[in-house]
Amino acid sequence: MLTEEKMKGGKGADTALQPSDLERALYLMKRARALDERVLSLQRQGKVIGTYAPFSGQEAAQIGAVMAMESNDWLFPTYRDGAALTAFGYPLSYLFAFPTGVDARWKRPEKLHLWPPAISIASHLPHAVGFAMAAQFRHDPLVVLAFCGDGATSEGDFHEALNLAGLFHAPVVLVIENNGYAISLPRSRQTASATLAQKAEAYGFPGVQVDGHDLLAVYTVVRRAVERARQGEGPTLIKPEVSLCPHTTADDPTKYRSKEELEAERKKDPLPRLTQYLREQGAWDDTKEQQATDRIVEELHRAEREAVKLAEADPRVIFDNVYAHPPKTFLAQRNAFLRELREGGAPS
Amino acid sequence: MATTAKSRMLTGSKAMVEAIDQEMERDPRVFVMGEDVGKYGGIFGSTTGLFEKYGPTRILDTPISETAFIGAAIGAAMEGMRPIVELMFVDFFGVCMDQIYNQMAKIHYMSGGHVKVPLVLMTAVGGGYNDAAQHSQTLYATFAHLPGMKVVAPTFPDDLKGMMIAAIREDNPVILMFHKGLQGLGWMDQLDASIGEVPQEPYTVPLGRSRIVREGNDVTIVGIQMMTVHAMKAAEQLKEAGIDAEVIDLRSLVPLDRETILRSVAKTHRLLVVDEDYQSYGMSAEIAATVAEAGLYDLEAPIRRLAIPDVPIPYSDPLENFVLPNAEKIAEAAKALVNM
Repeated sequence: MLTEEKMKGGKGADTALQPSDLERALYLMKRARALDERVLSLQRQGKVIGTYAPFSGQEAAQIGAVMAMESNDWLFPTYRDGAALTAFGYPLSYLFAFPTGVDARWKRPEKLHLWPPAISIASHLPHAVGFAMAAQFRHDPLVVLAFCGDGATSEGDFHEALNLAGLFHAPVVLVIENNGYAISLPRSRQTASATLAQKAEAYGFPGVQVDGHDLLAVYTVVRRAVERARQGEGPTLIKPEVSLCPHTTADDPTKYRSKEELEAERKKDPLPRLTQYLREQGAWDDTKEQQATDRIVEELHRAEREAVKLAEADPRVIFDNVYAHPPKTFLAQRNAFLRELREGGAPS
Repeated sequence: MATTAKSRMLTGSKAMVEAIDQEMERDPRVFVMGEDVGKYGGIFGSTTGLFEKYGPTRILDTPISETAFIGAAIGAAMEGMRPIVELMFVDFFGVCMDQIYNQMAKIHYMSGGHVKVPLVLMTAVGGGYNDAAQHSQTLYATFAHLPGMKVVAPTFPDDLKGMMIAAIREDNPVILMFHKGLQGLGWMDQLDASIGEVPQEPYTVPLGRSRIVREGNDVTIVGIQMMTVHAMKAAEQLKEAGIDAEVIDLRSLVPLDRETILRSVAKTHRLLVVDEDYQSYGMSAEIAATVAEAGLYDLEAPIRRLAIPDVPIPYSDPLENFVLPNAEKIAEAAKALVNM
């Protein structure tokens, strides 16, 4: 999923990351971070009216995992996987539109193998398993990669999905982004299990821990899991440890986390880590840094402009997509509602 | 609610917290369980400060396991405790509904009356702040439809306190819904109705009685929570148009105070029901049916309903505003009824 060539080739055997892949990865990480920061800055200016879930600190885990996928594979993300989405080809403009109050997040380009980002916790994991089982049934060699957070591991849907995946050898890779907190609840109060990875063991398949700040490490373990799934060897659970930003724009983490803890998290930042590695390899320098920055600024500007155009002001869309074939009573309700809006004057 | 010298102005959330605090002081069997109810103080401020006072043995942060912690609260209630359990958003009921409607609500009946479940399930409801289709519902009717539990939804701070205390002392399981927009939270739109005079000492407000918040003779407007607030604003607009509206704040869905509605309709001869829930098969239909059954001949105009059309609640700001009833829409509908 990394470069155009790789997407076209889709060769499972060609798994080693080339220097150009890493440059691309670093660019995607920087772009994702810039987008996250831009949306938060818009929020401070009062331009974000919806709820937004930041992902800064989780770029290596998300992008590293997506890079390990092939073009035929499917992604089942959550609301916090913006970095994964942008690396997967999801339009940046949609990510800008959503926090400014446009339902664009639910749209997706037709050809993108993407499940709508799950808002409910762990609700998409049974879907991911069922999707993978259907592909298996049709002898389609695709693999499903699903993300969830550490808090999701306490939900019934998580456990029932894992049980099913193990039982049916579903070609699923489940990536638990362990950022250590479910809103205010620390991981230590979420479960008495020593690790989250060991939960997979109870359901009969491997669980792997990895440092989620290390893009190369994440890529390597996810790639192995994807190949394993494609060869019919069943699911893998992968738990990258990542850093945490606030739960959403409605959250204030200083209420339940100490300054020292937040500062220590910042030091693990995956971006300087990969930048330094590439510099040491001679694959990154000040010129490339400047070029990347310029290009990111331009891409984000364009996306923001496009996002404005996505705004929907036509109230008729409220009634769209509720039914494939709207019942008569529903259409009557729609017509009456729209008539009243016209007569009563549309609310501001 | 009669005010006393010891009344002060409190927000909805502070009134709720005071109720829980006073009952926890009075009765060691009372405790709170839920997601982010500890240090965080509840994401809509329902338990702010209680963790600091009572510690982690009586204010229990739970994992994201609604079936487990609501089920556990039912077990604790059967054992003699009086749990208050928070379902963070009412929209999340889907992952734990068996524990709510088949267990919590029916165990007393299924045990031949041997087991009591004195449990308060408090939960945040309502939209109007761009939280999309899965975090903006009230689902009043979904819960009110099911036998075996009381379902109350106080609007104003004094009722939030009095009804919370009544719910805790009640031997039936009670679902107490609080409206996010009426909690008086800093990050929400500030509404005058979210702050009100609240007596300091503990008191109860009976579960199952509505409150006439504005008397009038020309039209009866029935609402609950945010719709009551909008109806009161609409009544002011109607006054300027020479229409004298009576506004009833239901406060309780189960039991439903049918008598107050029927008495009011007998006086005004016109009924408008406003609901922040889907229109079909909802509270508005239940009230319309009540009046059709027992007060039809009092009516001088057809019953009118304003509710969310049968569509998921939009995320987008202007689109959400289109579907939510508001003061202007209520005033328009009431005028049309009176001029019919």
